[in-house]
Amino acid sequence: MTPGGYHGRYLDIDLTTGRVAARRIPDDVLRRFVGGVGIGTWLLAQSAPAGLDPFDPRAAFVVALSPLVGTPLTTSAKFAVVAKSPLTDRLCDALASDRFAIELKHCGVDALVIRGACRERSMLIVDDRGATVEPAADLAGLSSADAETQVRARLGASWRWFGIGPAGERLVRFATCSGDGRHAGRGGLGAVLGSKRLQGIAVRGTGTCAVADAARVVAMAKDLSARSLGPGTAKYREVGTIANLLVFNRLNALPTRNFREGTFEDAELISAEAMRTLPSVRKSCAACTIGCEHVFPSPSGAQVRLEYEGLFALGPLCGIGDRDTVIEAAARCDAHGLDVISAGGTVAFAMECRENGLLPDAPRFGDPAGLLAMLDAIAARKGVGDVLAEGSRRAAALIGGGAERFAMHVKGLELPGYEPRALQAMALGLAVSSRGADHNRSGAYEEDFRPGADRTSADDSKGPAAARTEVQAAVLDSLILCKFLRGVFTDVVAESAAMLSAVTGWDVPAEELRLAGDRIVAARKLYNAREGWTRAEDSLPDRILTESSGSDPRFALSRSGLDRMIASYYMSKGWTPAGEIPPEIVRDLGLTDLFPEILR
Amino acid sequence: MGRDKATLPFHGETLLKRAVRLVRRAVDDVVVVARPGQSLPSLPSSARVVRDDVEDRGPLGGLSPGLRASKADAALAVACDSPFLHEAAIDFVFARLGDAEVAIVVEDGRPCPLFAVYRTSLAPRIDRMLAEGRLRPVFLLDEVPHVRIDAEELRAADCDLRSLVNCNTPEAYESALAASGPWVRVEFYDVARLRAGTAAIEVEAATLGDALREAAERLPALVPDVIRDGRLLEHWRANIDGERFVDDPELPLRSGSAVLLLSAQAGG
Ligand code: SF4
Repeated sequence: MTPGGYHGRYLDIDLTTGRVAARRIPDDVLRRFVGGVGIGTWLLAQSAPAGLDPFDPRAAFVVALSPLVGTPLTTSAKFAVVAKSPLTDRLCDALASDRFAIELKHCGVDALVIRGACRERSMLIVDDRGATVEPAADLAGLSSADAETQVRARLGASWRWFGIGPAGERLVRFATCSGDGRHAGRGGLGAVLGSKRLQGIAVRGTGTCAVADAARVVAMAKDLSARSLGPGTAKYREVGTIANLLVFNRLNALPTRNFREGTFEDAELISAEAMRTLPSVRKSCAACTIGCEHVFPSPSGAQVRLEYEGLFALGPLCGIGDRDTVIEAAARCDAHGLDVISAGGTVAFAMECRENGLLPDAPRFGDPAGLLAMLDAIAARKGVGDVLAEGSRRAAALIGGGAERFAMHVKGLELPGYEPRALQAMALGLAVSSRGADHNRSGAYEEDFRPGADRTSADDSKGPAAARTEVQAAVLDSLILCKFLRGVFTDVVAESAAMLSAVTGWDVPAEELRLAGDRIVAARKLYNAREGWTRAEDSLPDRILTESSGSDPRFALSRSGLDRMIASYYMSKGWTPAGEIPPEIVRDLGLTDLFPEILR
Repeated sequence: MGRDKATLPFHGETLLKRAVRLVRRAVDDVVVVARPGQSLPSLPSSARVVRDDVEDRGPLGGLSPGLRASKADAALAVACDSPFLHEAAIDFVFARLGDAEVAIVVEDGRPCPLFAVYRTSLAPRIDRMLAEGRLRPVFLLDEVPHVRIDAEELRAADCDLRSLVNCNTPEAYESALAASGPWVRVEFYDVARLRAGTAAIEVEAATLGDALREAAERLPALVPDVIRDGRLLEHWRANIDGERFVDDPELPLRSGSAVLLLSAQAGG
């Protein structure tokens, strides 16, 4: 019997032929990979041969649910999308929150694997009966939000939508996919859908998915909901993530003007306090009691969910201290379907190129109109925007003249708003993450904020800390629960294991779930190795390793310091000094079948 | 002084508010006795205000309504311009009361009626004395069993006798301002700023624990969500000067340092 919380099957959809097959996911796979990014990685690894270009029609785009979807456990209405990233050419998994997850679960599947490509702009329709492809030329050029409105008008209000905007259609390598205004943001997965000429996925399900111990799940859900309203989430509820801006500014950890400095002189002007004078509303993802979303009006009349990452990337990173410009820039990224971090990071790169005479058509740092125009140009792939739509790494190669030194990325993914020289555990997390420079797959900043830790020292303690937080993130992203719940747990993994047990009917000890997290981290790494990963990729941009932040010697990180931390990370995981996973660990984690070529 | 001492500023608070805060460290119930018509600066909600109904009757005039309002068996009387009251000194005077009616500190041979503990049951007797025009506190001491505490004895609890400092002249006020410290800036971020209602305050603190305690006293909305019993709750972090995250309440602070209080949830 299929364990509670799962259907034990996925739909394998070939857009080229229109064929759809329901395939089983064995119980042992469900147990070992849990769901979300775990099951997504398992499906991706076996759904496409090694070495495919992310835009190759044979490339797979996976939507993976988790066993908790549809339960009353707070923040559980989430799903993962997993594909090879056109920005990094490595594995990318991104999460989104919406009723879309619940509807898809009610269609009787745990995942979708989408391969092939449509001949014309189309949409995928998934319901209890399976999946069909329909023409959708009328959605071309629309924002994902407008497409959603149109699709629901056509199919009915009970349908949910997850799709791309104009940037995805034009294969901007950092295009998002989104539903109900929430983006699976990083790594350009919207461009993968765009390359398949798939505007999006409409779902509606009328089935159910039983859990093993409904009474226990309800009791746990009540308890978790009550705790989710306590002090462990107060920051998210009362201010939102934009609260980070002034904190990071004070800690010299706010990347400014393309990571040249760690503090921004106009931080107050775009801070959460400055935003408070605007009429904001609070919203939440489906099935969430926390409600961390603080929505602000943009000058053009859009409603913008403003997050720290967008605020930092479209503000200080580009030298912009004008509140309305930053909100408007975030609104444009939403409408175009652009990842705010990579968009801001790529424009900041262009601004520095301009300063150095390499890109005369780019705006200068601090140019509000220039920023907005450049975002539009990227989404339209017009002029210099066409070059920047490739992301900073590829754009640097196209521009030449030493532009590489201004491209602030890891594995091609632009850095998030955590200044690595001021948060050196996080520096390690960013360097080794399989997704590239990423703050969601590594929560190593927790170590930097730990009393007694030295956040400016590249010491050996950082390796085990980064490894631990990465495994914890893999557990939460597979389960899937919102990371903003972390503060309410005493032991994230142990409490997660108890929830998973109640939903599935398995008896999952904390250690087993921790091992599953470790397995998922390893599987992502093995996927990357299969796609050409080398040790040199686990690094940080030259600027971080050769200049101090804001010329302040306290905030410096040497290459040897980073290498020492990376060595301590590899060692703590039992990997070789070259960062490879030894065959015996691959075997012990049960990953040999998934990555047979690694052992050859 | 030429100006109401209660409202004189003292490093971000008024002298009266500061005195109430310092006394509150030693006792649960604080009563402020105001002159008729005297306007008072803002006070912590824990302080109760009563009014002396007649002007100019000296310390005994204020003592009577204060003792009547007190919920305790004995009450300490101090002046509002005492910027350095120390809880150990207050405890010391209470401890010396024993079976007596009054325990009073004597400095240079002169009793200090506004650094003394009185039985609250003395209120009717004081009223009688006031009605008879016997306004000097020594008349009370002549009538009731009392304990005289030489200031030198008090040094056991307050080695510099700073608790006895008053700001009776502009010079005394200026020198008290200069003598205080070390001063530390407590900066509030994210939800701590919402609770505090301000971005930063200056506190007099030698250790992290002192800084947290004074911040909690001055901004009661920080209690109990952010600070409890002089410690930060687990969901909060303290950082010194934007550099180290710390949690040891005994950690010494340099004058001029900044203590940042922020949420432990750094993610976003
Ligand atoms: S806390 Fe925020 S991001 Fe997390 S589920 Fe709730 S609304 Fe969504």
